Amino acid sequence: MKTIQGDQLRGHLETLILSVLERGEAHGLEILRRLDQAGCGLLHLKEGSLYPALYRLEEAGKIQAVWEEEPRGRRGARRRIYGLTSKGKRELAKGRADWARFVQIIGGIVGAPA
Amino acid sequence: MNELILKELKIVVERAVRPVRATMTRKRRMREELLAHLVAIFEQEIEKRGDGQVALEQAKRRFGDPRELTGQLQEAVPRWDRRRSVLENMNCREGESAWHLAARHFLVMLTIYSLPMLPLAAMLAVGRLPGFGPLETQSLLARAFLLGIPTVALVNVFLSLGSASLLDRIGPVLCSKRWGRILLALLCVLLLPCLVVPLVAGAALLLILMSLQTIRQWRYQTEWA
Repeated sequence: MKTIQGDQLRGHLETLILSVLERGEAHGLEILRRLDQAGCGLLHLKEGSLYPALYRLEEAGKIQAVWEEEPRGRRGARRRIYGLTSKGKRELAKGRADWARFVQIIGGIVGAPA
Repeated sequence: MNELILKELKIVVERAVRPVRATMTRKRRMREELLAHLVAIFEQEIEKRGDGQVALEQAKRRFGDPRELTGQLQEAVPRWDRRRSVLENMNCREGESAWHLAARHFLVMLTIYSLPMLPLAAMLAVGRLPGFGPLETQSLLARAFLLGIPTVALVNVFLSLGSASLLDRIGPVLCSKRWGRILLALLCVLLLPCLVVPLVAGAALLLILMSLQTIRQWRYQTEWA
């Protein structure tokens, strides 16, 4: 099956992140692993691109982050553990409703047989 | 992982983060987090492939183009942080040593405080200040240039370094919350006039008193000449 590339994901990435964080707190690599797993390996995102989206969400107060206590085996660089805030949960619910509406409208047009 | 590989990974992170216009605290956070991610994907790749060089290339490929990432990171930097970074660059440059910073500050302060003294220096070149004898003029200006201005500049360096480190500590705590940003803005609005108005008023008063004293002395000398 054809993969979904970064450009196609743009605009949905923030909602995707919020939805995988609903399952529990995670660092960047774990968020990507969950996205990959949920997308059956068909979502192809440049991994560095995850972080600007995380910073935007954090700045907007939709997620919060804490530094992990010890950088186990990663040469001094620490990771940050991200979790949903109550604002993030509300945003996720809104994102899901928007997505359902989008699919309903666009699906009705694109999915309709000629 | 050897030092060479780690250096290569740091270069990738640096290429992405260095051009971003943001405060040093924010960029430090980006650097550390992106490096941790890059190291982790390198470790995954080396486990899969075994060859360090191949794993490095694969990790870079997975991470993405640093130039593209710079643009994305820049978009994630809030406007207030970008504005603060401009002030921060004037105050303290990235990678600058503490001694270099202190010396640069001292020179800047010295220049700022010396500028208003230039008319006086011109008068010294002519010979004397109105109302003062040539020797008194020289001694006054020598005291101002050699002792007064460097002392004030030095005190100002310590004050600005102290305020910068204080802002570094409380800034991120306050700025991370909406109420903190509002509080900081209110403090600035209330505190700045409280500091600036007395300073300006004090300087103006001092200037008026000095002028009056000079005129009085000049009159006294012309009357008794």
